This record gives sequence, structure tokens and C-alpha cells, in this order.
Amino acid sequence: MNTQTATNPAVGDAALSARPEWLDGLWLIVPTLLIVIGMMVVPLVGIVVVSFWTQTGFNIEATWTLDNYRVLFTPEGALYRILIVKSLWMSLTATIAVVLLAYPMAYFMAFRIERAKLIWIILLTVPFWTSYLLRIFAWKVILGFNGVINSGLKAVGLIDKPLEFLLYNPTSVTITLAHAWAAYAVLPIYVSLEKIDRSYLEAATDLGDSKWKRFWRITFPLSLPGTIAAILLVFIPTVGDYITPTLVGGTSGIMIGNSIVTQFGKANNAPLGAALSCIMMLAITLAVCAFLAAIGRKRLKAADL
Amino acid sequence: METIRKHLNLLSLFAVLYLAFLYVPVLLLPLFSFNDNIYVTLPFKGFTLKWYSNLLANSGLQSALWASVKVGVGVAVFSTFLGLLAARAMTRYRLPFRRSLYALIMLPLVIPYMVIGVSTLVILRRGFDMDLSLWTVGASHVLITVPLSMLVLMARMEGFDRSLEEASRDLGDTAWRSFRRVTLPLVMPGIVSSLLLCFITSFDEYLLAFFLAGSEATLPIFIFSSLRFPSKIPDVLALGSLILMVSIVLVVFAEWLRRRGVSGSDSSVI
Amino acid sequence: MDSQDFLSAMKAGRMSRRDILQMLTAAGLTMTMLPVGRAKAAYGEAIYFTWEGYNDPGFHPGYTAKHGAEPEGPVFGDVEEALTKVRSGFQVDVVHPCNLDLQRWREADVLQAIDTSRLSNWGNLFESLKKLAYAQGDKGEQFFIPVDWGNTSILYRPDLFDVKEESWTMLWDERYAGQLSMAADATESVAIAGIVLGVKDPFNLTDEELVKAKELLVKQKPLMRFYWDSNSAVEQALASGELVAATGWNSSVVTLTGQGVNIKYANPKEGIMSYCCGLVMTKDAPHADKAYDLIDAMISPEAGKWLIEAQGYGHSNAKSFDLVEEKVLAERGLPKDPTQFFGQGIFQQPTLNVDKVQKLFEEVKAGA
Repeated sequence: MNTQTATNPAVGDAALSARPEWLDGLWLIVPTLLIVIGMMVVPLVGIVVVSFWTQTGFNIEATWTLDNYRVLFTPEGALYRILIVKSLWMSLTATIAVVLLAYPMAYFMAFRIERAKLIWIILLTVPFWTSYLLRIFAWKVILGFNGVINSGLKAVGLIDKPLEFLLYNPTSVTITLAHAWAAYAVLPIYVSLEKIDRSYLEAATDLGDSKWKRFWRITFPLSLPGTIAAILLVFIPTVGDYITPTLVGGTSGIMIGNSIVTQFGKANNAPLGAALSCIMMLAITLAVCAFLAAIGRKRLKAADL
Repeated sequence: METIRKHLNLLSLFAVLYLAFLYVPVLLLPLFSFNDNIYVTLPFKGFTLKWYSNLLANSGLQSALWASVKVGVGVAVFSTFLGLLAARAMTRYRLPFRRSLYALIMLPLVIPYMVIGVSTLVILRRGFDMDLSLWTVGASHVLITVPLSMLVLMARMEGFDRSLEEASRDLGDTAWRSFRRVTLPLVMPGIVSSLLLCFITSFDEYLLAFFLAGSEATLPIFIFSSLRFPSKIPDVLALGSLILMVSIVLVVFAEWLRRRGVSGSDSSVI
Repeated sequence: MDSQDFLSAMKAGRMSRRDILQMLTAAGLTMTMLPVGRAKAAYGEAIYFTWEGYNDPGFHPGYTAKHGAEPEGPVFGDVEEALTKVRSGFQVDVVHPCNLDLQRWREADVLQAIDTSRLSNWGNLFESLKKLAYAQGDKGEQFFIPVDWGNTSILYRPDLFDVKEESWTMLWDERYAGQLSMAADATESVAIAGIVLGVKDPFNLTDEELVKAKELLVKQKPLMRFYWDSNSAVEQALASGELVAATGWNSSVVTLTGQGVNIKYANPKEGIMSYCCGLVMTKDAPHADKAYDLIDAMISPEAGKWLIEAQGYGHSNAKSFDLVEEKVLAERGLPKDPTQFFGQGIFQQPTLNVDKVQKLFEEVKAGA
């Protein structure tokens, strides 16, 4: 850009509008796209194709069939139906728990902390600089049979036999996940809350809005991008998670992720594993789309009001 | 006024409890790292430093730690850079097929890691006859952290006041300069969040790392592989505790420095 | 901006966001530029793919003595994942699976036959271990060199579990509901159910027997605290008293006793289960000569003595049992005469209909 156009904004804009502005944007996103496409296309196409094939022993046969999908609708497929629904349900409850707990914390950081916000951001992630496995050990110590909670309650005399329902059930899975994904929920919500222009809030107060009304009318809608990001960041990966349920979920701690891994391995049925993966991906995509659509409609309604 | 104060206190109370929820479990770990018992169970049996001295002798664990730190830092910086560009493109420009592009970049989050790991391995080895190393692990971690970085940064940049940037352009700044002078400082909390989230994701990722690592193990591979020998677990515990304690000390130290600084002069501190 | 500046700037509160960003970028770039490859000159050594811990120098004293270096050691956490990685083209020389995994490694066609004449210790290995299912090819060529063997039985706390007779049915004892555990391993769990049912071949149940086995496992599920996925988890729970009885391996007896936990290893009336792990060589092994040295070192009597004393597992070399005191063997639940012992117990055999067994166990867990 030469000095002349720089000093004369009108001319500069005219020169720029010669080519569409989005072209500049495209250049910015191209590196990411190249990496994602370069690394994802083969896995993605591969998994879709394999899901229509069959396998005997270690040999995958390239004969097209719909059997891997059909089995899901037969009585033998009951296992997979149960696991898919269970995984989605577990992920959903965990996501709700994580985000509900994270929101007030993010709000606190955005509006109550005046200085040293960087320190708070770091403070939130420090617990996760240790291995996940170690954190699971810690949860077992807290919730376990002779753990902190049970020993504490016993010492106070509230119980005389350890409570066994604390660990190895869906509740302990939710607690552990709420802990493990905390930073992934708090930080996106925080960054979007923090950018809200304070003058909007003051204006609302001047107009006589109550605290809650102000929150629902202004703060919450403006924090939606971060809240949506948090929900997606927690929901999507936890559907396929199978490590947490195995470690703290007890005898029923099996998810669709376990089954997929088994199909690719010992069960010698990669095509079924691929089909299950595709179904899982589809289920996640549908759930996310439904969620985004619902949010979109709400947002429009809010704008009408 | 009275009600506002009450709300304020409730919120602060919640924040304290939430931090306790985050920290109590992990702060138990250092306690157990001094416990003379290879199992992480109550009651405490006695004080020992032997797990820390074992740690000093455990070269496998140390190199696994460095491998993970190298990969984690590299991945965090690279993914955040890409995420920043992508988030800006998504929020600042009216891109054609915006939704499809968004979905495409989010895709790596949906595909099971097992599938990504195995197919990438097959391409690298069978397709390109490439040796596995920490670079291949890092590449796969970039793939799964870019969507994360983009989401966090988009949350920050969406609804951004473009007039600020335009004002800067009007003042004669180039696009890059106006980005650096105006946009970047405003996006800073998002960048820091993205760096940290990408780092902890990579630092703790097992499955992709397993399939794409050569002879050099990352920390999660090392830990999962050690489960076969429970007597090795305390070394891992000592390491985890050490990381935790050092990072907490660093954070406290930084805060202390900042407070000293703030009382001295005006603060442009984050 | 160097560290001195950084500290003083921090002190004075002069750090701007831009300075911090620049520093972060610089630090990140420096980190990524650091050489990522391994600095050790170990590239020429045999590559031994195993669990972390099994690459301890004690396992192969002869190799280190001969080559002055340790074998290169990538590690895995799960042998099935290791097979997937090798099949996908990851190059290693020697892998350490167990006899139950052999069928899959053989059928995946990733192994080469091992010339036993190149192994000086081959003659002293127990004959029965050499001939395990899938250890040898059709023409008698050897694919699997046995190294460490052990048992699967019930670990229990005699102070907490009142036992009348040691039996596999201890895992169905309703008095201890919620305090029992088995491995999250489909073939093993179904085999144990088969043993309790008294079937002919617990590792290959007929369809009829599978139905009964499933009923038995469904009945057992509410009694289980969890299905364990690592012996770290099971030992921890036994040590805390959360579990009173669980399936486990010999090594757990050594570690738990070492921690002062009152633990007993059952010798079930139906028979104790045994398994054997060992070494296989991959088809495209890049360092085949050194691989032979490693294998020979791992089956030497000295390696065996160390394995028995330090790890509590049995060794494949008969001579190593002569080097260990009887008292030490007894403590670890190991026989003086393994040959006779192998004849009595239930040696784990490959399961042919693995997919059915896998699905059955998943259904038990999912309640389907």
C-alpha cells in the first residue's frame, strides 16, 4: 500500500473493493484447511468406505454390503443401540453439569476480578498439568471405600459403614468428567463474557432493569458464543470417551467407544467398528445441529423482543 | 444495595468452592507422593522421599516428560497461530460456505482418535515410508487442537467492534499493523486460553500419541505402559506432584511480583 | 527481551501484552526448533516392543554385556494396540506378547520363524512351553520363544474373606457382594465361568455353554465392584480393603506382601490357571542378528533367576529354578518342579470364537 492511498482512506477503500473482501479471509483460513483436509480426508473416506465392507479373520473384503448398518436394527444389534444411547446420554449429563458449574465461575472471573486476569486463567488450568490417570487416582481416594469422604463421615459418626454408592457408578463418572473438562468450559465462556462492553450493562441499569433481567437481556445473549463453544468442546469429545467410564464407572462402565475399539481389535470386525464410528459421528452431528438450530431460533426470538 | 452485596458474596463463595473442587483432588497427590506406600490409598503410612529419589534415577520417565513438554508447547503455539487466523477469517469476513468450513474444521473432534491414529499411521508408513517421531505425534495433536483453538478465539472475536480497526486503518495503519495494535490486544485473553487448553490437551493425549510415536514415548504412553508394574506408579505420582507444586509456586511468585509492580507504577499488566 | 529484563519489567509492572506475546512466540518457536529426535546413539540396537518395566536391564543381562548398550525400547500399554501398530507398518525387531495373543499375531502374518539353533539356551527350556498353541508353525518351525510364565488365580484378603474351600466360586460369594472383581477381559471371564460350570474346554465353549456362562456372569455382575483393567487398579483396591477377593497374577502377591498387605493366592480346587509370555520376531525386523542376542539373553538362567526373585514370575529356563532358593520359590507360589505343575493346572488356550465371546461380555456389562 503506498503512502497516497494510506493517507486517503476513500481511495484506499475503492482500491480494495476491486476484489471481494472475503478473499482476504480465505487466505487466512487456508493453512488450517490444508492441514485439516490433508490429515482428515483419508481417515474419513477410509472409515466410510470400510463400513460398507466385510471382514473375515484379518482379511478385509471389498464387497459392498449394508449388513454392518443393518445389524443395528436387528435383535443382535441391541447392544450397540443401548451403548450409543447411553454414550450420548452420559455425555449430555456431563456437559450440562460441566457448563452449569463453569458459567458462574467464568462470570466471577470476568466481572469480579479486576486485575491479574492472566493469573486466574492459568490458575484454572494448573490442576490439569498432571496426568489424567493420576487425577482419577485422586478421585478414587476421595470417593473410595476407605476414602476421604467415607473416613470423614465415619470420624464424625454420621455413618458406621462406608457409603459404597459414591464410586463406580454413573454419578462418579459425571463428577470426574465435570472436573476433567472444567477448563474447557470456563475459558471460552470467560473470554466471551469478558469482552462485553460494560456501558451496555450500565445503560440497562439506568433503564431500571433488575440484576436478573439485565443478565438475561444482555449478559447471557452476549456470552452465547462462548457458552456454545464450551458446550461443543465438552459434548463432542465425551461421547467417544471410554476411559473415564472404565476407570470409575464400575461394572456398567462400558460405552460405544469401548465397543468400537474392540471391533477394530480383538473382535476382528473393522467394518462393524467403522459403521459404529460413522453412526456415532452422525449422532453427534445431528445432536449438535439440533442444538445449534434451537439456539439460532431462540436468538432470533430474542432479537424480535 | 443490600441484595447486590448478597449476590456478590454468593458468587464469590461459589468461586471459592469451585476452585476447591478443582484443586482438592489434585492437591492430594503431593501428599501421597510423600507416603511410604506404593498404593494411593488411605491411611497414610509414613513419610518418605524415596519416590522422588527414584524419579531422579528414572531416565525413561524424565525423557517422556521432556518429550511431552516439547510436543505440548510446539502444538500449543502452532495450533493457536492457525486458530487465530481461522477465527479471524470466520468472524471478520463474509466467507462463502462459512458453515461448511466451520464444520470441516470441527470434524477432527468427532472422529474416534483410534481411527485417526491408525489411518494416519498407515499413510505415513505404507504411503510415505516415513519414520515415526515426536513430529508425527505433534502433527496429529495439531489436528485435534486446531478446532479447539478456533472455537475459543471465535468466542472472543465474534461481535467484535469493527469500527475500532477501521479507525486505526483510517489513521494510516496497514492491515497487519491495525490487527497487531488494535485487535491482538483485545484478543489476548483468548490467545492465552487457547495456548493453555491446547497444551493440556496435547500433554495428556494417549491414543494418537501411542500410534504415532517412534521409540520415544510421551508421558501418557509411559504412564499407561507402566500400569503393568504397580511399583513404578509412585515415580509417576512424584513427577505429577512436582509439576503441580512447581507450577503453583510459579503462579504465586508471578502474582507476588505483579503486586509489587502494581504498587510502584501504573499497570499495563494483563 | 532477556530474562533479566523480563524480571525487572515484571517488578516495575511495565510488561505490556505485546511484550508477553512476543516472548511466548519466541519461546514457542525455540521449543519447536529443538532437536526432537533421541540423542542417544541407540539407533543400531535391537528394537524391543514391550510394556514399560519389561525393558528393565535385569531381563536381558547378556545383551547389555555383549553390546554395551540397551535395546531400543518403544513401549505399549495394550498388546492389541501394539499389534495394530505393527500391522500398520511400525518397524520393531522383537515383541513381547503372551500365549493367548499368539493366535492373533500369527494370523496377522507379521512374524518370522526363529532359528532356535542360534539360541544357546534353547535346550534348557521347558518342553511343554515350547509347544503351546500357535507357538509353532505347521512344519514345526518356532515362532514363539517362551520367557516368563505365571498364574491367574484369586487374590484374597484372609483377614476379610472367610474361605471354606479355595475355589473359583469365591468370585460368586454373595456374602461379599460389591467387594469382588475380575479382569475386564472377555476371554478370561468367560473361561472362568466355564470352569465354574465344569465344562470340558473352558476356553472354547459350545453355543449352549455360552448361554449358561452368560447367565452366570449376569448373576455375578451385581457382586462385582468393577472389572479391573490394570493390576495397579486391582492391587490398590485390595490394599485399601475395597475389594476382598479378585483375580490376579503372581506378581501382585509379591508387591502386596511387600507393602504389608495380608494377601493370599488361592489354589482353586478346579485348578489354577497358567499362562506364558515370550518373544516373537517380526517379519521385517531391521536388526535380526541383535534380536537373536536379545532373545538368547532373555532366556538365560541368570535372567530367569532375576525374574523369579525380583518380579515373582516363573521363567522358561529349567536351570534358573536351580539358582533360586526353595524358600523364595515357595513365597512366590512357584513350584520346585514346574514340569509336573504344568500337568496339573489349566493352561490358558486360545479361544476360537473370540468375536462371540467379546460380544457376550460386552452385553453383560451393558446389561443388554
